Amino acid sequence: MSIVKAVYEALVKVINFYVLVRDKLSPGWSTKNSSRVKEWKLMAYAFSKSKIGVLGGMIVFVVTLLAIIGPLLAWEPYWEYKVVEDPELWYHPPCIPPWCSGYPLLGTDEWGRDIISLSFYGFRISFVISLFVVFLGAPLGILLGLVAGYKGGLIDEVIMRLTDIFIAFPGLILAIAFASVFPQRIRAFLEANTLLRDFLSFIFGLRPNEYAQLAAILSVWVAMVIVWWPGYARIVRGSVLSVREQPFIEAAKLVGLPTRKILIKHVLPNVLSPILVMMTFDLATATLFAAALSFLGLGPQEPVPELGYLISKAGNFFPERTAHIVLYYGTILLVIALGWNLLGDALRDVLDPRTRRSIEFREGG
Amino acid sequence: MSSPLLEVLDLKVYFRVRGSLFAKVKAVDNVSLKVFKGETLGIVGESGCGKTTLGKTILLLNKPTSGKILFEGLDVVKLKGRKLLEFRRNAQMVFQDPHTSLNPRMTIAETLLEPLREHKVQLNDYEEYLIKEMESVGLGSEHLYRYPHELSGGQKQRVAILRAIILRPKLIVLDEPTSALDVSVQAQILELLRDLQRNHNLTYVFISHDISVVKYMSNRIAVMYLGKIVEIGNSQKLYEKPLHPYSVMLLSSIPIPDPLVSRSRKKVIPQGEPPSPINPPPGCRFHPRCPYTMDICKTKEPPLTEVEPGYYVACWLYAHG
Amino acid sequence: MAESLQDGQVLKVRDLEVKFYTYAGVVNAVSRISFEVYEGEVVALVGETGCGKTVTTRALTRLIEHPGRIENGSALFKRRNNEVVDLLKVPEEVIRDIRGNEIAYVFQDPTSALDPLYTVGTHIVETVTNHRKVKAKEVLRDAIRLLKEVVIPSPELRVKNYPHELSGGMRQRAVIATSLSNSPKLLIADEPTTNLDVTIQAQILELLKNLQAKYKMSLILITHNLGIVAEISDRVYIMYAGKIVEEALTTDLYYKPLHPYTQLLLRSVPNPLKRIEKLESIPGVVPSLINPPPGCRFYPRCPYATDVCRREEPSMIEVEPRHRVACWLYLKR
Repeated sequence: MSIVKAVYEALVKVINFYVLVRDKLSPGWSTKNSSRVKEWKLMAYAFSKSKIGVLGGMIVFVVTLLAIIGPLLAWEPYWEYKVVEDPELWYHPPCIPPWCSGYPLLGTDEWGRDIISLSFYGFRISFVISLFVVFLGAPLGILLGLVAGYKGGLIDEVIMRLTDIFIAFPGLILAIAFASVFPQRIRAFLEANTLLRDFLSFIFGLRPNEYAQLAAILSVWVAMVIVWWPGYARIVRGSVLSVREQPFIEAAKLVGLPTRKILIKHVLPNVLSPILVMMTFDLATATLFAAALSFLGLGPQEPVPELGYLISKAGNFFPERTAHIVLYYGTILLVIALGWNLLGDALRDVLDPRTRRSIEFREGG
Repeated sequence: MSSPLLEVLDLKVYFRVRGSLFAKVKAVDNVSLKVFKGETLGIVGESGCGKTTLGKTILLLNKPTSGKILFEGLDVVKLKGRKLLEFRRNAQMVFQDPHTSLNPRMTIAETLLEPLREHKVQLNDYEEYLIKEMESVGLGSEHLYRYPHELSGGQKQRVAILRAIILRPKLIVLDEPTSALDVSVQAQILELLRDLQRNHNLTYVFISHDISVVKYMSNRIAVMYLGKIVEIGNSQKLYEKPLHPYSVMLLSSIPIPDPLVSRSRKKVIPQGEPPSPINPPPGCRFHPRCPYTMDICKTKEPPLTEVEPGYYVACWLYAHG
Repeated sequence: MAESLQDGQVLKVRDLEVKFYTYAGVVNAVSRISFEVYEGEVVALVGETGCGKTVTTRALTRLIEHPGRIENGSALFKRRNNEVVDLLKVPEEVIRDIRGNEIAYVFQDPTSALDPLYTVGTHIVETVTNHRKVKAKEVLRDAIRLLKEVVIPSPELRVKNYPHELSGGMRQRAVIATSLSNSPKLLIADEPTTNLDVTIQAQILELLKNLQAKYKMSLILITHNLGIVAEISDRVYIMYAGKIVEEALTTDLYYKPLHPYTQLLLRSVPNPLKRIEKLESIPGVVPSLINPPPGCRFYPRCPYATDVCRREEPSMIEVEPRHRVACWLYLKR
């Protein structure tokens, strides 16, 4: 109960602050949007009532935070191979203080790198890839789905058959094909465009001279975007088909609005909530999918600490020397995926006006 | 009577049936009618008779298969661009269900501003104007920045009506504007519509399945059955002495809010159900349910004949074929 | 048990109270209402959307869903074996046995009342075998008889039809047949004709009237259509904002309405047989059931409202035999 209240109050504070800022920027905003704000507060309440949602939200918050500041926190650069100085560091098992000291807490990998410090880089890479995949795949799918569903007829047929082709396309094989073709080209391109290279390596938290690895990451990413959008196109088309028949769309036509405005102002806002939920779930799936691709050796290689790749490498001496590594990185992936999924589950209830109204209100009401 | 504001000539609206190459729903089949300036033409019929399709086609929400729609003498079917926008400004619609005819994600103000912006109506103070308009349909300024779900059904329908008249059109198609509302609210809305008609010199096409309401609102009534007009004429006359057997049946099915009358009156309990408009019966479409079926009804379609000045019936009982 | 049923009563509801706990606040959907149903009569429960008429009847067999709760009251029901039980207090198994068996429902929308995956016959068989130990084959024979009873043409074929193969009217007939399959003592019809065309509505009403007489059941008809009420009901309860405001025999109600709400309601319906210049409409809106106004709930819209109406709630009094009203106009102070 107290958690519900605390989360609710914290969210309400955030909302109130936002309202205050908007009102300062354009006076009268709060009166014009009082209903919107009320709805936000109801959403906040519905969210705070969902225990697993709050848990998911916290996990996502922590993961995001780690992804953002992780590379700054990491106390060992991932490109330093300490094993060269101290052979003991080769797959050193966890070293927990009372019984052992002088070595990293959860052990090291084959290059003697502290796996906790290393994982901070991994957080960043996984997070950025999943974000990029979803936030590029989704808009593409949404756009195509909107047009297909609203226009119907031949356009619908063409777009949807194209979607079918891409859905039928096995993402793994596509990624393999890309891995053999793309990386060299992307690498050449990156060498030519140093500004882009610096920017991308900054985003991924890597050293700027990691051409080859950056190129491998990008090729995974391109392969994933290509298999990612069709899901959105399908879902959006389905929702558009039902929204299209609503009288308010006909009313908008009677006003004389052009199709573009009808799609943006009337159709899109009414199909968006299931998409947001799907995107949340997809952030989990994309994280795992990217890890799986690098696990199979299609992603970046040494020394980039991609979580999937680190696990695959640990497989060499599993379980005698590397159980701790597999367990640790596996848990990280699990927690990231769990966080997004729990959050998505709660969002589904929160974003649906009907379920959010049926949530029983007891505290303070 | 004055000149017609709207004239529909031999209008056909056919829809393709999904999954079938040839089958077509003849939603509106060869309908001709005139709507005069300042009058209310009621269109009654059961669900699936094509009355809503007719109303939407008049406003070009459906594409007519063939036929003409003359608005102030101008055929509007092929209009495009500025001319079409001009027609849109003059002809509007109020939908049946106010819960779905307003975009749930837009505030009332946003909904009402949309037509003004799209038609580039220049105003000094939009907010002030909207508040004045809201008052004219019985809504307070406190509703302006609300979302539809915060309003009652009657209030939402007032907003929908205001959206339709905010550009001061000449023609409004009212598609069952009160059938989703409660009786006490229905009366308010009907009165509002009548007031607005008087104040703004509006012409109404009033579509409904509720004959009591249509009769209360309309000068003339058209009765539709399976995509065709079977009877059209003065509402008082049609009500007191319906000619077409279908109109008779329809009228006697209305429950009368008066227990002694409703229990003592002679009732024709309707037989059967309306057949599917995909494969309407040949000849007169009503003949399978008609108590007076003759041989000719099964083979030949009765023409719409004038039995009195301005009063038409499509029935072999009154026609000479 | 403090109260018991009188002679001829099937159902006696006292002080029923249902509340919904929502974000916006506590909705007092039904506030302490009392009514009774006699054997073999048609009782109409009339009111506008949100007045609590559907919630009332759903509460009878505890069909209230989250976040709603039955807070108070009793509902005595005489079972087939003449045992009198309180529907709001008996164990869940008993209520499940009564629901669909001794108390049956016909809902507004026949499409959602039928499962699209099962045939009409299966629906009837399921309803029967849920409550009695009989062979499915025998029930199926009975199902054909029931379909004949609700005037579905060629019932032998229709029994094997899926809901989507039937028209709206036929579907509602099938729903009625299903609800009759256990010969219930009490049938609750919730706006049974609202989604149907007038000509079909006339057929269904005629059917309900005939079946009610034939099966000697009691019928609670929920509707907002005063025409339908006049057509088939014996007695009427008028509900407003979660309360019953008037109770009368049908003819009394139409010719001598007592409560100002009833009077206004009757005048706001266009009677097609009369020439009307202007429809009377009730000003204002139904009050919110979250913190409803104290005193009479119709007070803000009532043309005769006085000070006492605002302060105190009127109780039901019998003005004439079998004609009760809750209004200060008739209460001597």
